[in-house]
Amino acid sequence: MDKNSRILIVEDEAITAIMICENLKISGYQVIDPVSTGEEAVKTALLEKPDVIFMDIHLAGAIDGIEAAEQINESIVIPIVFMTGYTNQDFVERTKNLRPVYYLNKPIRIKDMERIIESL
Amino acid sequence: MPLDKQNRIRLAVLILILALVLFTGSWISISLLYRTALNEEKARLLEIVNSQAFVLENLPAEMSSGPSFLKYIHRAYEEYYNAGYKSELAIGELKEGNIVFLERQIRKGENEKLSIPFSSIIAEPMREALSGKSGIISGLDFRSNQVLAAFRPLKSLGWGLEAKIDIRDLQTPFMNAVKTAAAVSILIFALGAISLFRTTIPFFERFIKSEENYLTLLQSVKDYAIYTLDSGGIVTSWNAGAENITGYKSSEIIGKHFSRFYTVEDKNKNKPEMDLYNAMVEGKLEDTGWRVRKDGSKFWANGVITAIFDKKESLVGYSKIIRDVTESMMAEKAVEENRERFQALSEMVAEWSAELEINPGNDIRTTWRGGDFERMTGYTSEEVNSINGLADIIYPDDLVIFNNSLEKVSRGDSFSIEYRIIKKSGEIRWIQVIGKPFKFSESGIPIRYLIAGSDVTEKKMIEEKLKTSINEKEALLRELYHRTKNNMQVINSLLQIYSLKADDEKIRRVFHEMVNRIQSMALVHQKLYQSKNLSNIDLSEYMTDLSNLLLASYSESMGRISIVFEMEKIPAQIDLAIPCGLLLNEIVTNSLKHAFPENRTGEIRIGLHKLDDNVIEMSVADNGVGVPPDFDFKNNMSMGMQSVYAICENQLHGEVSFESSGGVKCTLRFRKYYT
Repeated sequence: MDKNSRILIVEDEAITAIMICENLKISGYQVIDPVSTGEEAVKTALLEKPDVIFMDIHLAGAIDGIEAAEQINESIVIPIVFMTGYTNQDFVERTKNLRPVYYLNKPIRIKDMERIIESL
Repeated sequence: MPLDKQNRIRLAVLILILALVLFTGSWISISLLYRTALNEEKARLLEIVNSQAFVLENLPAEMSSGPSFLKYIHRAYEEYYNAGYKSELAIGELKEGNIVFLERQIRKGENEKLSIPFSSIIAEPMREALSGKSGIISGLDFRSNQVLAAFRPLKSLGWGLEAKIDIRDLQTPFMNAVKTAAAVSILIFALGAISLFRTTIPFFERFIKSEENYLTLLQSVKDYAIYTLDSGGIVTSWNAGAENITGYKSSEIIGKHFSRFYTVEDKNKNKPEMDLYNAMVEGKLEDTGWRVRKDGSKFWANGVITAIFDKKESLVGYSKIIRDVTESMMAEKAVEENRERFQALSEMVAEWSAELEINPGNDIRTTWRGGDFERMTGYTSEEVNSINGLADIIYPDDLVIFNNSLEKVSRGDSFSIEYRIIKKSGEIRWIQVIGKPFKFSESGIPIRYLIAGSDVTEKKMIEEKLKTSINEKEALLRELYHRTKNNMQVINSLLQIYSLKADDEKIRRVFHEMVNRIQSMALVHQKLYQSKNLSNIDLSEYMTDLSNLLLASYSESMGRISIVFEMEKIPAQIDLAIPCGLLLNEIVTNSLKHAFPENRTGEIRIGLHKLDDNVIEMSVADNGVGVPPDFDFKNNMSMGMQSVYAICENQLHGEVSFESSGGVKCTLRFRKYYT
């Protein structure tokens, strides 16, 4: 992916979301306005069809990031990068059928995000 | 004891004396009879003499005066035996100084007239008669035989008359009787002696020997006290066993009252007298209780008092057999106490317990039940017997747990399980059952199990509540750490946003360093909420992650500087982990910023070791450009490095040291637990 890639940030922590978006924008990426719930993520993803989604797992709303990713995957194939504090067995089990999927450990470093985007 | 020779002689003399007494008695009896017979004979002879004299003197004169008178008399007396076969009548007259016997009722062939001088000493009765006397006399007759004769004169005829009998004839039957008595006595003596020595004495000797053996046996028995009492309870005999058990010698106790074997308490309750009374009434009495020895010590006695009665059913006394069963009683008592202890213990630790017997083929049977199975299950004892213990009332979902325990039983393993049962009332209760094998076959296979069960429903509920409470607290704490970390992350994000807006590189650098410091603390909270116990994190893992984050945050260092870790796992709580993180952050940041200028390459070695149980050594060493030889670390450092001293010395009460030799090495030592 190049700098024209459109990126969706799904993060319920608004400040963190802004920080990520600002950094990505400074790095030259096109960033869609971030969303904070799983439902909004599904809706925005289907509507905007971003090139990559950075998805927090714990989200406000009825569904979490993994479930939102599943719903998105049912309709459209978009690379999803889960931003997680740590990975446990439950997380691995729930995400093993999702493709393509990536992991990014928190705290998020813009360099790591850029590395993943460039590798896609 | 066999009879000796002297005693045999004595017995023989005794028999002889008895025979003599018998003979003497017989002789006296015969003598008395003889005297009686003699008196009777005297009376008879007098009667004969008087009656015949009356007849002869009263015959008509014409008969007695004629010459043929003697012939008539002779003919009359020829067949006359009134005087008896052995007695005879004789008539005599005095003629010319001689006694002439006119008629003699004599034996055949002796009927000639006989003349005997009057002065002769023989024919004494006739001489008396012819002398005019009458009476009875024992004297010599005309044959010089000793006779008993009655005599009287026949005055009208001038004759004398006598009726006599030979003393010898009179005495013969009595002498024969005496001889017979003597013979009988001798016979009795002989038979008596033979019987005595051949039969009676051996019999009595055997009897005596048997008695002696019996007495010897009784006397020699040492395990049993065997003694007798008179009707009043006075000791009359005593054996070795009694001495052995009580300590009293025979000489000390015979004649004393048996109540001295009883305890003071028993004596106060009149037990000795009551025992004798009951033995007398019942015939015998089982006698068990504490008894007292001579030295005052007590022993547990078991025995029987038997009342002894004579033929008239009068009480003669008592026999008493006692055994010292103290040891067996104590053993039984110990067994009983153990049983009671076991019972109490089993009731203390469990509401219900049971013993299982494991038979070949894993046939498990309940051989004993204790405790209140009914209360625990609601089933009566009859119903309990009709069901197979707990197996039939187990909550279906928990049957697998129960069956697992049975498998453990068959393997000989101990077990502790909890499962639910359905009580008779339908109530579902949790019970805990523990089991342990306690008896094994020779091949080591368990054959007996003890199991104990208790209703643990309340405990289970408390545990559930506690578990829920702990889970809630854990969730709360985890959430707290998570929120704290997120908040720090938000602060970092804010700092980063403002940093992006800053034009001044110095300000951006300050922001960057602040972000890293906050990140070092946030990482502790992240590690904590990821930890299992929510209180400890592994310091080495935390320092590794933090160092890598720092290295990544200085993007210009990536690829040129590597970090080498030499650390051991050390658990740390939050109050230690956060200062450690801040220390590491400052020192590593310092190395990243200053040790490798002008795009130098190198490495930073980070060490973490436990020097002893409580002292931790943390070190950060770079192989960078180092510092001048006279560099004063403490007074020429940045604010960040100064905070290293503050944290380590003031907060952790540790020490900081720097050394420069081909780079800079900072070593920190502090206590794991500090106040």
